Amino acid sequence: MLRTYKSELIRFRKTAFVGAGIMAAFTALVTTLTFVGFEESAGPGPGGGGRGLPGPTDLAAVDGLISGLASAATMIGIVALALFATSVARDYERGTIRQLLVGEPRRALLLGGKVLALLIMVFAGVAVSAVVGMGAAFALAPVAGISTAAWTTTSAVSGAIGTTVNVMIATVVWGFAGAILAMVTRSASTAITVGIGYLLVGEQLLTLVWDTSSDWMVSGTLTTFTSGGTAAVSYGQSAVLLALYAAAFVVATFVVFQRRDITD
Amino acid sequence: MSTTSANGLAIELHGLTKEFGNITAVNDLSVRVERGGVIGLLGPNGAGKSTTIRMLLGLIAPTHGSGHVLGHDVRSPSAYMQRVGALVEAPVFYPKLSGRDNLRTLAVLAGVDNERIDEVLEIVDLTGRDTDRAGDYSLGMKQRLAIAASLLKDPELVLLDEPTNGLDPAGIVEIRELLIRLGHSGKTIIVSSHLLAEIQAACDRLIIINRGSLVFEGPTHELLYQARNELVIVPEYRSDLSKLAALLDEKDINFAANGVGLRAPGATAESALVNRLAFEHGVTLRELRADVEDLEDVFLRLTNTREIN
Repeated sequence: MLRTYKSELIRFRKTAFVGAGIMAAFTALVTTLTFVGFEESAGPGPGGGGRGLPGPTDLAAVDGLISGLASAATMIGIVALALFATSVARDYERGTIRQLLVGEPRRALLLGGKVLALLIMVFAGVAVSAVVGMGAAFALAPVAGISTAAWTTTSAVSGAIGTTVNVMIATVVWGFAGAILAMVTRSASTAITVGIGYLLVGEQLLTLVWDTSSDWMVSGTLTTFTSGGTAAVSYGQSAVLLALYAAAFVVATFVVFQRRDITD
Repeated sequence: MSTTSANGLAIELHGLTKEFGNITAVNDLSVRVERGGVIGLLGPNGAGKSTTIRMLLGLIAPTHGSGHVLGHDVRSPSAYMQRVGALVEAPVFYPKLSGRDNLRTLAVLAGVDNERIDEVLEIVDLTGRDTDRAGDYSLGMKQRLAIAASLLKDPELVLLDEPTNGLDPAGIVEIRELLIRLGHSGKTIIVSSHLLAEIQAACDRLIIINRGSLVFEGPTHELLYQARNELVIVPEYRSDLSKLAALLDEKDINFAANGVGLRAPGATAESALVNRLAFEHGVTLRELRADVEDLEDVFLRLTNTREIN
């Protein structure tokens, strides 16, 4: 599997850098908007934040340091979905899947190497985004008049690490969703459209007719997990549910690839 | 079913069949290919050539039947694919990577070292252009890069699907010479192509399939031996036809009359004799020529009539 991983890195290196760059750019943008625009968003929520956005009190708390990454988690997830979908579908669209299978006929290893490369890329992208988000927070806090005293405490650092790990896990699940959609459709654009359409719009519509569905459906579970749990679903429950979704996506992707005739 | 076969065949298929829904792409195909040499795989569009090649490479699972490649079950491609190289249909690469990097992705995948990349680039004469982006290559260069990719593993068996597609005449000759050289080096090269003259020039043996079934399998010269070979004799005056027929009868030359002339199957070597006889008996010939089928004619006849060798 190491050989397929190295081969994937040669092919996907540039796209991976672009993907990580986009993740970091989204995080910087969201962090900037959070710090510069919190007054406009301030409302009745806890800490002064309205519509789910952190207010000045939240930003000055220990979690304020990593609030940009947490707020950008969905955007980062979309990038991961697109990257996984592109990586999986691109070889079908170009026909290079034939060459790859001539080089490595053990399909599980071929896909395993690809997934390993993508996981490392996603972890690196989220880590860079976390660093960028925290750097932007430190840079913007004085401008916005936010105290950073709480950000340098041990609990702030452990909180930042915890949030980063949560975003990494959630981002990987977004990626796995992109992978199975791409494997089934064999088209990157279709997989991305269907994936984003369902997770961002489809599930919202389902919630309108079945209001408890967000407690256990994919997008709702991802949000619950990255925010550390809700009153209805604990962090642990959302972690278990997310693990089940991840396992289902991965198993389905491998089974489809293993059984499919390469006729393209 | 056994997973290995002890015989020395490169490929051995027994009743191999592939169905896609109601469509039978390959139907009960049985063929044995000895190791070594260049073998042509011929068939009209939709005959099942690509499906057969894909089954041999493990890209498609057979619906029925059995097959062995280099002694291993075709359903276990990982057992033999390290010894097989292939170009399947059009050459496809990552356009933003250089030719060398494209080969490197495949070399890493197959566990082949960088020195072999240099060797195959030299074999296909791409050494000076290896750092250019593959997307900027001409079709001919892409074909050569694809052949280089197929040779990376220094394989015993090479399957090339239309390797001369899009090449200019000089490129076609280059590829032909390369294939012959590879065949002489002990490798088994299976080439599918629509350029029958090229197949005739490069291949020792032929496999012809049509509508998924085997039509011919054997040495190229054996197929050409089956080619129609007639002497066409047309007198200047139709009234001389009976006299001409009597002369051929005397010499035990079989013929068939068609109203304006005679056709003598297998008698092309007797043209001088026929000319002399006609002259000696006062018959002027308007036409005396050999009507000999080439590979293309035989191919078209076989694929239309589905005669099994």
